[in-house]
Amino acid sequence: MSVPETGVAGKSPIESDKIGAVPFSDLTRHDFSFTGSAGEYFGICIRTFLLAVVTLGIYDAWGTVERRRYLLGHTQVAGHGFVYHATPITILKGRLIAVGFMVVYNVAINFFPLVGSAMGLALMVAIPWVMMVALRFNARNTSYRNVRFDFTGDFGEAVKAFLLWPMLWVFTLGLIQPVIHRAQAQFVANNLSFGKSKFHANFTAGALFGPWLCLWLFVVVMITVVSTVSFSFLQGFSAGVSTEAGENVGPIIVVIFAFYFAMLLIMFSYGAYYAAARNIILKATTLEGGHRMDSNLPPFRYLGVAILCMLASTFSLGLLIPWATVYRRRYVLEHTAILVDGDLDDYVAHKSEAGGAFGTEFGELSGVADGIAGGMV
Amino acid sequence: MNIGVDGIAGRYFEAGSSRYGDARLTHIDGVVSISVENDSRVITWGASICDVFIPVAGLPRRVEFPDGAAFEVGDTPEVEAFFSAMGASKGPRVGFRSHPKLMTLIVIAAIAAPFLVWFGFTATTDIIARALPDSVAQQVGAVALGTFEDRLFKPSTLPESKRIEARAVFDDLVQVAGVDPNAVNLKFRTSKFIGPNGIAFPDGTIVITDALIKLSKHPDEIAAVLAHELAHVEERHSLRLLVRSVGIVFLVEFLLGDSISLLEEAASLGTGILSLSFNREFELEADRRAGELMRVTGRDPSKLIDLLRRIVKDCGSGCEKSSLFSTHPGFEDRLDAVAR
Ligand SMILES: [Zn+2]
Repeated sequence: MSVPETGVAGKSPIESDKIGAVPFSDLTRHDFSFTGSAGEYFGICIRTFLLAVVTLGIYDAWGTVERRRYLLGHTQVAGHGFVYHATPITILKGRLIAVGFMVVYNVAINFFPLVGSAMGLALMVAIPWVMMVALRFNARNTSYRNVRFDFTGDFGEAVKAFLLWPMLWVFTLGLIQPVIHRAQAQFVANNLSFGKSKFHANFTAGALFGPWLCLWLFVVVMITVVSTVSFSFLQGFSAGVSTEAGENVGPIIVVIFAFYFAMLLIMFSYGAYYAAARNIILKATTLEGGHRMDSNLPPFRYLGVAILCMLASTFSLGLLIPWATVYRRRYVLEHTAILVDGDLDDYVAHKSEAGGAFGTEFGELSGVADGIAGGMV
Repeated sequence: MNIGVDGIAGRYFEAGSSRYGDARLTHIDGVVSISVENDSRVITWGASICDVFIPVAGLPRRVEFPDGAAFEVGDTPEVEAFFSAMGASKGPRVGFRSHPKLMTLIVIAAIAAPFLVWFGFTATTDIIARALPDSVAQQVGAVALGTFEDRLFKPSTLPESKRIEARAVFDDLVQVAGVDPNAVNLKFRTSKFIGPNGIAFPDGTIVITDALIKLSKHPDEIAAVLAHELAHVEERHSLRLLVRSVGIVFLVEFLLGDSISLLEEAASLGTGILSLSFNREFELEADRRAGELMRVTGRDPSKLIDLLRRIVKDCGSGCEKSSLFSTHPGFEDRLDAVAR
């Protein structure tokens, strides 16, 4: 975990010089695209799912590799796709350890509450570690034009980005989110490299503040409206009808549904902020050699796509998840580009071990690493 | 076309850089040769040490060489034939088109699998719960009982005679059931939170509330509740419920590792409903055993239901039928269970 040159190297003058030197018009724009099809991916998902069921989940390690190879392989830019290199055995090992840990944790929390809570606390501290190893595993197992990505973020930085900053969230009623988001995005981008060439994201938290404030105000208004309405609703009810236990279940269910609906709206509307923030972050991201990233996801249309995918996946009982995955991925990729200075011919590979898959698999089991790695590569 | 001699045309990616060029791959007698265009080099490797990636729909086939270089070629039937002649593994891949019979079998097995998993799950969790050492049951029971004693229970205010009466019935039932008298422990408590109720703890402690005894109109009614709780202890229901509730979380986590969040919400609702169904299953089991004990000791099993009906007198038809969301079975099912 000791990678001393990171962070410092990220701020080296190389990129900033290059950015200044190359005017926008001299860069060649390459849009990302997704060349796969929902039908094909659906076939892969059904087949791997059936085999996973028959083998009590063991085969899913192979299925996971095939699905990731499909999704990354069909993610194309400048005439080449990405290659996923992790082997099923590595995934399976990581998954078994992660499942084993979850079993021990669940047993402990039910039978020995004290040990369980201690483990829960350890788990909280483990989140940054999980983020770090998951990012590293995914980066080092992904290549483009036979050059692997690399991730060199260390534990200290991860703790800052994923534990210390987020702790301030409550005290600032969430208004600090742009600062947290910046810390996390820079942890990802500034430690990511393509071969030996580093990515660098240079932007201020203030840039994210506008979109975040919009979402924040929306959430505050939603919460106020829903709680006022349900409070008066409950009041009217208990005044009019008997207070016998069990009689009031009806209105309580209505209120619960109202809260649930409000929560869904809030969750969905996060998608619009995500799109706006992604645009700001990727526009500010450069790759050593004078190249820069670009993203122009329309926030509200992306919100529509996200809602559509979520509803389709849910109401088809999961059957349309493959379609939703492909549809959303294609939409995001088609609004992403890299502006290349010259060509991408002279990248030099950098060899490093990817390590075990425990962190990634654990992240997926516990939902920690959700969607983080999906944003960049 | 003699692919053994002509080989296949694709792209060669050099090791350690992003450079690539058109190249031709040939395979003769276990030796793979790559001739790169516009380059006089010919690179050779033993076929057995080349890593041929398994095919993925719509993507080029990929071969990786020990030095980190790679060769990519569009997936065509000729290319497929070339690689299988090379002895490359197709990987554990079967498809509907290539193996229709095997896939049909897999579909059938996949449909049957949930039932097998279900059967295996309940059987395994029960074996685990029964195999857990007594010390675990004692510890869990002590923790649970301690929580109840601290927050919900107050000492009983029942007249001594009532308590002696109930204890005599209890001792009788314990003896008939063949349970070790030291393994169970009857306690009387009062509690305004749980009302007329009986609770069996994992360590063998059975608590009966004053309200329950006051509500009863026949000695057999108390006997029935005691027999029911005794059956919970006998069958280790609280431990089995715990192990199953833990197990179901683990099972769902494992099966739905990475899925869309709404689906996970649905799954957690599902596990809640399942846990309730476990509880109903155990309640019926306890009712059946209680009915048995009541009959053996010459008591009327249906008295249990009389008392239950009185406890929830305002419930109406809602309590008669079992529902997906209730913790206990409906009275109709319970009457059926004690009477069997
Ligand atoms: Zn019971």
